[in-house]
Amino acid sequence: MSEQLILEINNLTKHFKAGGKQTVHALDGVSFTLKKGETLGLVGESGCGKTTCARTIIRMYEPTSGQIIMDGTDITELNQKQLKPFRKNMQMIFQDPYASLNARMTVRDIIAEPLLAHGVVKRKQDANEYVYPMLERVGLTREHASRYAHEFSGGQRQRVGIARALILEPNLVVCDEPISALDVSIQAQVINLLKDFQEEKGVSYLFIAHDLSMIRYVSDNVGVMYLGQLAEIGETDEIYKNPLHPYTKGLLGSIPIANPALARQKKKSSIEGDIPSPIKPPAGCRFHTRCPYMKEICCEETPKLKDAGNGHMVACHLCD
Amino acid sequence: MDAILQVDNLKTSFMTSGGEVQAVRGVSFQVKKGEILGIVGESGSGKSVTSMSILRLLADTAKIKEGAVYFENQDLTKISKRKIRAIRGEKISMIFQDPMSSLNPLIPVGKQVSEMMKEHHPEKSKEELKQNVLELFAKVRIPEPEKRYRCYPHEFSGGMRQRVMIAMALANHPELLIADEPTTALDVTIQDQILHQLRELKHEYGTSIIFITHDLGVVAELCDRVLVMYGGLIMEEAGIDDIFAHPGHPYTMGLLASIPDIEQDRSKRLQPIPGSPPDMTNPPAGCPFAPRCPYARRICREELPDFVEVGANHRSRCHLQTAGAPADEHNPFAGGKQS
Repeated sequence: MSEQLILEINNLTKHFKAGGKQTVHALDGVSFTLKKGETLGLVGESGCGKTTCARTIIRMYEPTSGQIIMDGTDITELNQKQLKPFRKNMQMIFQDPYASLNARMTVRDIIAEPLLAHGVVKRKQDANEYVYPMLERVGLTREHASRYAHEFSGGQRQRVGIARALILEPNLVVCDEPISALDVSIQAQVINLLKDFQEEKGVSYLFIAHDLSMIRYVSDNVGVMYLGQLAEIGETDEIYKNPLHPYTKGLLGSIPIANPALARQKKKSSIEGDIPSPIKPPAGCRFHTRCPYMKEICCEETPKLKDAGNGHMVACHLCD
Repeated sequence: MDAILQVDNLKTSFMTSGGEVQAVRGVSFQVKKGEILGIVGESGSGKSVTSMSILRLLADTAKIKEGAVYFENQDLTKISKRKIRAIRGEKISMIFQDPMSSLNPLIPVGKQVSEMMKEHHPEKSKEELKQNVLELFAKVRIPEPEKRYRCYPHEFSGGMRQRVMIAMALANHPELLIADEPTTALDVTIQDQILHQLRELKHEYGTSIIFITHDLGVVAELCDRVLVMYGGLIMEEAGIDDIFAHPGHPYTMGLLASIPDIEQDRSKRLQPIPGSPPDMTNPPAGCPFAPRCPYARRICREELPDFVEVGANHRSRCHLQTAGAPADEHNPFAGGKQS
């Protein structure tokens, strides 16, 4: 694949106002890049900021600070009108295929909407030449076009969501937990579909999931997030085989292994306790309240993301 | 080991405007003392309806049409409402996927747990009950039990709420705990903590557990024995090592091939099961998996296969596993019987 950068984010931050004068530090200074045709997986517990990150990137949320560079252009400050040509190149697949499809629109209209919105076709009737091949491409048929979303199973709905996201052949697709609402036997169908598209069209994915085995399977690079920050980021195999951050180690240690003999041997390196509130994130390293190797410096100083070799970046005082 | 629960030919249906949905179509199994039995299946396989039928916690539209559930020499499907209430929470308790909808948002959690104890032990004093609840909270590792006792459910995280549910389920030292996808809504780290706790329970009190899940990884970590359900039927039953090493049904094989394990070669494609599960208002006449099965023959679409022994403590419902099945290259079980 070419080295062309599709997406670069620098120090991206998103704070939400909560009740009173409180601030939710949902995303706090995250930086990474995504190359053409590659997949970056984001993992972490709920509340770690992965969804906020995805939504801020496609400007569904207005960033508090930081920079989003799409295809070489800084889109952070663009207004919605200026943003429109870029929107064509960034699409999203949502977690809940029941909530993300309009119940009053036929599948044809759902998939044709982006074409009309971006002026690829002028009239609804003309959309069919795009919609039909797309339906077949995602494993549905022409006959499905005139039906409504409620007539479909979860897996089929997610195929409609994928068809809608890919119909404009975008450079970047943000997949926010695209398979977690689906049955095991259907998940693999959807994953294979996404992978095939990537090979054909060179689309880049920002892939968010809490299923760590699936993230490993789909991603070229993986970023591990904790309380709005990146704890560790690097090549997938490197992260999974040689995790450096205690949080990553704990997270990987808690994956259930679908092999009873291995599961029994597994050394327990599970993480105790819950993720703290992002309203008052702990000082210093945000993981220090749960870290088994916590030292004094961890409570005082925020560790910086540093290269531990081969682009494997980790933010931990113990790795210095 | 002795069976503490025996389910015989259970059939449960839902009467809907679209017709009768045959959710469970003749399920039989036993739960032994101190074992963790996993029930695996996709949505609509009938795994939850089976467990809800045991405690008769079904919606009004549902009906147990046939079969029996034996527990302590009585058939739970036949006893009075008063008697089944006495069993629920005392001898058999249950935890669910979503702890928020199982807890009353207006009552402090400590009170909810103590009320539940009082229901079955009216002789205990208020102080005694509170003491018991605090001990339970400590047992399921709820930090600062004294403070947490007065908190409301919304002040708890998902993992903490599930711990409250577990505390409540264990309050009366039940013989059997039914856990219906208790960790599905939780993060892996919290899931790991909860699984660890369930394992401890089994060791400490010898509690039997029915663990319902769609996650084969969780099954591998936790269970002693597994039932694989599909289309309202048990398709395979085996010990935990056996089922992963020698799956005896094409559906089980399909499930195992469709998940990437942590060592999965990334260049290798996942092998999904094509199609989707059957519509249970009109279940297929033959094997419910036949329309999606890569090995299906004509007989599979016409006749429901029997549930037969294919190894030691290993049974499967597949025509290709029967004695007369042709042992050609289209039979994955040909060439040497399993285990």
